[in-house]
Amino acid sequence: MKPIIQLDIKALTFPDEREPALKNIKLNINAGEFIVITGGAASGKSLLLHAITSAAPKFYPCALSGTVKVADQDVSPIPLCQMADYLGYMMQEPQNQMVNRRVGDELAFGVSNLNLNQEEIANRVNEIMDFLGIRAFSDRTTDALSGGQAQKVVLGSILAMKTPILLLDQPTAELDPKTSSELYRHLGQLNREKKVTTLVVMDKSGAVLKDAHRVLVMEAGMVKDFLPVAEYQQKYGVRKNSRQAEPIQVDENTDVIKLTGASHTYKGGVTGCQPLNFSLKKGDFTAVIGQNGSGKSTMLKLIEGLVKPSTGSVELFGTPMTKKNVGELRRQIGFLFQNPDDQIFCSSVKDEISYVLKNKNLNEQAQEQKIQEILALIGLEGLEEMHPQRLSRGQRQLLALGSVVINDPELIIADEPTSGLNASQSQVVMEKLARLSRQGVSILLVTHDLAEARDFANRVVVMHNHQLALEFEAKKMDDYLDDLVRLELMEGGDDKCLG
Amino acid sequence: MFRLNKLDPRLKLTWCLFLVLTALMSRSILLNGILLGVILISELLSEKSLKSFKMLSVVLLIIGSQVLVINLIFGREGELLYSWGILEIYSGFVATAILAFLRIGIISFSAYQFGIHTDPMDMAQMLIHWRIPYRYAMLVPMVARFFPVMIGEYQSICNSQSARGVPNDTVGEKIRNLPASILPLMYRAMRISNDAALSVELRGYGRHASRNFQKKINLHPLEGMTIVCLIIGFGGVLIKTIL
Repeated sequence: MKPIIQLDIKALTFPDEREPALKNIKLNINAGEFIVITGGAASGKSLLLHAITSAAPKFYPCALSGTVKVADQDVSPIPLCQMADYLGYMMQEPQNQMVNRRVGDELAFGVSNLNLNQEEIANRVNEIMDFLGIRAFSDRTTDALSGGQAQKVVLGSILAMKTPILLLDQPTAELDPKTSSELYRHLGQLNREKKVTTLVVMDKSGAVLKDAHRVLVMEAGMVKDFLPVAEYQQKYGVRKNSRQAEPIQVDENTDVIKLTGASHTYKGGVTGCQPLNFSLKKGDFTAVIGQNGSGKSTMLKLIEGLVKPSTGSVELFGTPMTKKNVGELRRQIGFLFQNPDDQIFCSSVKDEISYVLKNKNLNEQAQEQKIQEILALIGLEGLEEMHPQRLSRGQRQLLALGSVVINDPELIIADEPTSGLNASQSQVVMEKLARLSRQGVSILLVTHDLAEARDFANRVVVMHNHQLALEFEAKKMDDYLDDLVRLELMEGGDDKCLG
Repeated sequence: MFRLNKLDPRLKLTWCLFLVLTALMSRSILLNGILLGVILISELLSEKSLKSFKMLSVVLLIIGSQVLVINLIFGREGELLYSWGILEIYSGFVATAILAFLRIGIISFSAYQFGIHTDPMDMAQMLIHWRIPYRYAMLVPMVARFFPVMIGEYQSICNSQSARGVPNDTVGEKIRNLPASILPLMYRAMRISNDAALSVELRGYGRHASRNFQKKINLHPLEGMTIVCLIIGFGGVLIKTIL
């Protein structure tokens, strides 16, 4: 088969860095191949895609020694905008990549730049809307889309350009398992039927392997392995059930969170969640799972006091939540958000961790001791003075966890804390949460990752159509696979698996 | 059915400029009142409600009360009605305040109406028709997308901070905690603009000297005639004012 991408990168080095970020990469990717790229944190997966697009060094200044060829053309003299003739590139965080107010305009953006006639633009947009099943929201504004919808729209805008190569960086990071499977099925179909060469940076789910031909394993900026999928699975294994062995001690008599018929309707009559009856017992580790838009976020907002219940009531630590006591109640809770950047605002790791200590009567020595304990817990020792924005996404999530834990919360509410992290980073974050759970901290986790819920939580509740639809013991999740399919959390078929 | 957002942006812009310039030229309260009435009627006919003007109306009422107070204290038109120390109140202050209020209302409502009923993509096409290179013209829809995104980001940062114990609920608290919210917002803004810039380049932005659009703006002959009528109408007001 003819290679469509030829890489011979001796070194790619960023200014002020001694070590190259990519080195000794020599490989060919054949036309029509489906390649999955994987590797640990900061192993150079996304950067490799940047190098193929020539964004590194054209957009991200760096020194590149070696050659990158796409369709037999050396990409270095080709202007970035002309790379659209060869490849379509979807980066992480799809919301950041949209530049139009309306979904229809966003889908047409790329093809309009190619100066095609109006009829061809309309045909391609229609074709892609049907292919991805997004016609229903073609007239919506792009800022009103959920993460999953945004991901489909950005992908649609790229697919409409009909480039021979597709580069996708963690395309399902914000999607629920069923939507992820659907998306990978579409990509597999494109690859098989239209022979589109596809390179995907794998997130933690591994569902993409079903349609892939080869797996590229990166480590420290180098290619560690480049294997057919079967060999990769044999060598690296698939994600196994890694359920925490130690049981979680739950005080069944004490409610930490109690929702009694609590519902919320947003302005304009949009349902956030229907009346919910839910309780989290002291010491429990409960995972809330559900499709994108099933009402999980609204349920969390009700518990956090960020929205008022339209009906019913919310109790925290046995106290009904009111406008007056919400601040006081929040101080006993640690919140871990999906995007750590929303909560990080100090200019060093140490300042960030110690922020909440300012209001506590602790002497300097006690503060320092506490900070060091937390740094050890989250594994960021030695990085005290570093600016948080210089840390990797996984490290920033751990920093956010550290800044929460230092306050000794009785309850931690974690909203998709591993979204956008790879498998090893996720494992680290989840193990820290599990450790806290074993120390008696109650944990409410919202996640899309069913395997994560099964392996770390004690109890799982499923949200569907804005209400609680199912509840079961996490370790018995395998018995509930048919229900999860019915609740549109998984695709049906004989090969039902959690991740 | 009459819908403002279906009209050509050039007609809407001419209409907006006609209203603004006529309001500034004319000193007639009656004419200014009619112009303001026409804006409200056109909105009602198009949208069947004045809901979109609600927020702006509240702001204008606050500004209007200030205009009245300023004219009461500093207005020097008409006859002297009352004098106490340096404070002198003249009979013309109400008329002047009403005229100023009407002018501010016309300028604000017409500009707002143009903004909310004109698709940013149509504005970009209008600029391209005026020979502005599309790389610059397309900044209009991009900015229109960027603002709500940044408002959403700010809201989500405030929520995160608030949940973390940083008081961020009232306006006063928001102002006090601005540094804590602004810093992450700046990082997010930089990251978003960086990603967006790379994304548009790699989708062929600037690949060709021109670009096409999915829906093109098209000036209907009737709209063209309306533009001519508006220009003639403004000419009439101008001549009347000069003479």
